[in-house]
Amino acid sequence: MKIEIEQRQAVLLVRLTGELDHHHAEQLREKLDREIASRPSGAVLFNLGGLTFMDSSGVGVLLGRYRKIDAAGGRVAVCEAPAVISRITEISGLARIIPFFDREADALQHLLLGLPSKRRF
Amino acid sequence: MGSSRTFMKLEIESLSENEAFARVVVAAFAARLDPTLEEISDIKTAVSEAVTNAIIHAYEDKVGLICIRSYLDGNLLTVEVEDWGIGIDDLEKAREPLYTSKPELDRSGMGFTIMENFMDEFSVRSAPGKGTVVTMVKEIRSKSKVKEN
Ligand SMILES: Nc1ncnc2c1ncn2[C@@H]1O[C@H](COP(=O)(O)OP(=O)(O)OP(=O)(O)O)[C@@H](O)[C@H]1O
Ligand SMILES: [Mg+2]
Repeated sequence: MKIEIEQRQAVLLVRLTGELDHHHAEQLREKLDREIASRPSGAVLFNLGGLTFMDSSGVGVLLGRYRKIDAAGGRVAVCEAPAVISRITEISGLARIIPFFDREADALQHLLLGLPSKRRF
Repeated sequence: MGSSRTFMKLEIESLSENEAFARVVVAAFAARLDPTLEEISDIKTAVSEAVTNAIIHAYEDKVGLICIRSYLDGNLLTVEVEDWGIGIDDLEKAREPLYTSKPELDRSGMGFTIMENFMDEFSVRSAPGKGTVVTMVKEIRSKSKVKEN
């Protein structure tokens, strides 16, 4: 799995490509927790457009980051989730907990407008 | 082709890098029944859940063996995933949605629920201290048939 992290204004954009299973979830968790630790109350956007597979380990790592960031006063969103993972995001409840957007631009706007102006990375 | 029966067996070590390997092998085996993309994705997900459970829960920090057996019979795919790990004390509780014995590891307790939903039949047998076998069956409504109807 490829993990690309970039800063888009006040949002940390995390682009995932490939298969998100238990093996790759561990790598993602380590990498993200390092990034998030230095900016705990910001916003994180997961672009899942490149995923070809996701199981409950992927759900767990996304929910885990959501809980951490949410507890610290930050915000999380998901965008471009492909059809191949829609069943798992629905059955697991992930799509009801984290806001999902089709387009990256809409998700960014949601996160940026929702952020108090003083809360910046 | 529809009435033929065939079988395969795969034995792997409980290492996380084997998860992708196991689900791809079962999906390739099931491909003989000409499944749709959705069916392939369901099978891969269910196999991944069962194998991941064996790695995380059955063997915890040790490395053990996981045996994956798969059968094709007519348009039915059967997959069995067996481990010889710690076993499950309370099966009813383990199968409840959202129940996990490892919340600290970012587990959400959805694995069994996903296997149940993504496959047509699902059962678990387990003996504490001995191991666990998960059996799943899926009816493949082959692509060519879907087109004909
Ligand atoms: N092969 C196994 N050996 C021993 N215990 C198991 C095994 N499979 C499942 N369990 C037990 O059953 C519980 C529920 O399993 P399930 O897959 O539904 O959730 P999980 O693995 O905890 O979380 P998730 O699958 O969402 O990451 C586990 O937490 C574990 O206690
Ligand atoms: Mg599980």
